Amino acid sequence: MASKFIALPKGVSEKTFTAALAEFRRAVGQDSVLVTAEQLAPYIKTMMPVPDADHTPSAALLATTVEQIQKIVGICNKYKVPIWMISTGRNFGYGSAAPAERGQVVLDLKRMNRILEVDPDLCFALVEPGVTYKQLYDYIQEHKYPLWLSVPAPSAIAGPTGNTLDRGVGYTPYGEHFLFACGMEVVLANGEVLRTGMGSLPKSNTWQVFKWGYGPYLDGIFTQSNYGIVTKFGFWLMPAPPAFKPFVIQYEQEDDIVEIVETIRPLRIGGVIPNAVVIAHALYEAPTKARRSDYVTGPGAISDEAVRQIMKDHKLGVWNVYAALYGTPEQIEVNWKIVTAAFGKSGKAKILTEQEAGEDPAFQYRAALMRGDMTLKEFALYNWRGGGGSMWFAPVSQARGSETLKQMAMAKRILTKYGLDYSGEFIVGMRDMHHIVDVLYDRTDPAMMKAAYQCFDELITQFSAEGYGTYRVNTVFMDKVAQTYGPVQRHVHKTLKKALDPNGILAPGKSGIR
Amino acid sequence: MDIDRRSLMKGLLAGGALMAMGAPSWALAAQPTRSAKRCMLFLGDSAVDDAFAEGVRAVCRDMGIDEPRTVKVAGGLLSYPDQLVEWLERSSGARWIAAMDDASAAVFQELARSAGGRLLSVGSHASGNDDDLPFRHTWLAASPAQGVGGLLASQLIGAGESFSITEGFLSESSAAGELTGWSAPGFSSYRSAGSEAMHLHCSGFSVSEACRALALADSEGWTSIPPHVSKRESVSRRSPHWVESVGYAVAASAFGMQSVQEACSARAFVHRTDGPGRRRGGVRFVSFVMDV
Repeated sequence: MASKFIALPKGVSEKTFTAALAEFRRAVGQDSVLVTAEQLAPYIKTMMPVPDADHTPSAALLATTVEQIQKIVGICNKYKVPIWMISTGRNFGYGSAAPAERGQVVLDLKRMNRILEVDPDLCFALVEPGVTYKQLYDYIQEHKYPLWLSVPAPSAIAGPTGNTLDRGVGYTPYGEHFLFACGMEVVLANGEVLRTGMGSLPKSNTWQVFKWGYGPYLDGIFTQSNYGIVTKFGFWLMPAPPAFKPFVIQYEQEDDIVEIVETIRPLRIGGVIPNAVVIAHALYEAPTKARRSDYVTGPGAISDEAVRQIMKDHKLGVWNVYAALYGTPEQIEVNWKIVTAAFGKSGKAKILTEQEAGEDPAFQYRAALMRGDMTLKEFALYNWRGGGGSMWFAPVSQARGSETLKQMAMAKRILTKYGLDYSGEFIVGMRDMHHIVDVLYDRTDPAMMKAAYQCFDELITQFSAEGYGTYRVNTVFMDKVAQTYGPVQRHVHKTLKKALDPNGILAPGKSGIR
Repeated sequence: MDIDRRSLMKGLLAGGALMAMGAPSWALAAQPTRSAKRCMLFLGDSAVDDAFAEGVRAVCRDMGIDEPRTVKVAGGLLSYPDQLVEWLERSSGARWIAAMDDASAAVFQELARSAGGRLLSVGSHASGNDDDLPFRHTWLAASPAQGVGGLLASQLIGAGESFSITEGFLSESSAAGELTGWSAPGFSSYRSAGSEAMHLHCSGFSVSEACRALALADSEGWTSIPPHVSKRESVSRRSPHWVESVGYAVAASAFGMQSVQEACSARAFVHRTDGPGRRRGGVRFVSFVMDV
């Protein structure tokens, strides 16, 4: 422990850091440089099975302008001080706002919260990184624009820039968020300001309407990366549909996932169901209605019998398929017939409309997410077991029934081995599925902390051995996941890093890149 | 084109829930000053609200101070985060004592950070079915001055329960360098070697057993803390309800009740009673002390 600071950047002396802080204060103002333990403690809530001390920042900087950020990177280069950038820092279960490595300085962009433009005709927005979905939602409501957002589960308190840059997803037809990104402004490590795509062209008015610009497409290298600091972010908004019909389809057996996926795939690829469908296991939905301790108290994973009882008590399927139709009433009527016919063939599906399931708390929050409304209800997950431990395991699979069954069985087997529950869901893309498992554990229990770490490590190892890559991961396991993608990709990432950030000042360790 | 620059809190979340909650007049004051009485008790509508609040009231009685204003968010923060944002905005200068479930706590800490809150301590509390240690508490505190563990240990010893308490401190106390220690009847105290010293207080556990129970890497390298540098807590109230004891200890720390500070970066307390522990599995919550 340093005597003057609660942590120091790796390889930086107290004297050097003191000098850097003095320059930071000149750049952003005295009150915008946070160094006391009380000020920095709110940045340390990782939810990961490692000591908080591993992710303690040395300071936090609150920037408000691009010019300030340019000065900050200049100071970082001068003193070799690394910064960890956050927009709103709501990356629950992936490391939240804490830096990847002890001693990194958090660059908190929450005060850069201007909505720069919302175009109701071309349906796009341009925002600063601190803008939250709720802020944008209110703005759209106030101006009575017929536009919908696509939001992730932490909707109200998260923001589009951070979520998209981490390649997060939502639940509307615009749910694959990076697919709908259009134009960024990026401060590079050398202080230069890059506008991607058409934004580089003086007087251009097509920055937020044409993604590709000229030459190599660059936006992608600023997602899940540490090659620059995104200070403006453009993305497309969905026109509000004339009608919206959410529904849930319940299945009773775990191996019904095969039928579910085989039924959904053609509907999804064909555009009949346009949104990111969710296939949620009973244990993913149960926390909105019950606590784990209502059913089990001893060690070990929850039994299948207990899951059956939860399903019975709370009117859940073991799989709960949430989807929606969007369009005119006439379009929805036609598509509803197609959907009900497809799911009705086997006789296994129980199809519930909003009229039938509208009072159900799980349905309510799912329906809200599918229309881009604000709800935090999914985080009832954190009360399932309690104790504050959560890591999202997020492998990708083909949208093929046999693959999803295999992944579910693998995940459940490994979690059970460590006494942890399978709280999983599949989010259906066009041809892929994001398999999302919330590894929930009690951080007050040292034995469970150890088990959770080992379990997560084994999940990555086993899944990658089967060819299943993880699309996103918490800061503890970033190196391990990067390793699974092989040496060539790592080398390219590193080569780009050296070229764009030779002093390694921007978020060292992000996605395993240094 | 710049359309709008909003204040952080207005932009983050909006809501008109404050008036519905019945805002105290001081919360709406323009520039309130902080004092021990400028505290607010925030309850997140968890199962522990009543017992925790009783512990807070007990401290007030013992210290002869007014009870803090109490705010309870019916339905929890997942339903009404807007209410919290309004309160954070309007209670500038106040010290918050809070208790809530894990899900609400995740949201609470995020919104508190956005509001510029300064976190003095955050604790996670659980009762389980572990025969050795049925009650577990972990804290992260800004410094030993905000430590809660010693106060809580003193409460729980009196209640005859087995427990573990671990505390991490982000910064050292001003007394850093001077060897100081906590003590209680039946406890042996140890200090780990190295610059980031940890103190370990054991009762009913050997050092190696304690290290195993707490998953501490090294059961060697511990030296006894001599009794002459150790002090006992001046208050060791006994309550039959462990949540109430947590409320008492957290509030006592928030109100500045004198407690034993140790010069270390972390400390732990483990206590095992002879008799069978009472099983109260499944109760979990989070506590905060925060300046807004």
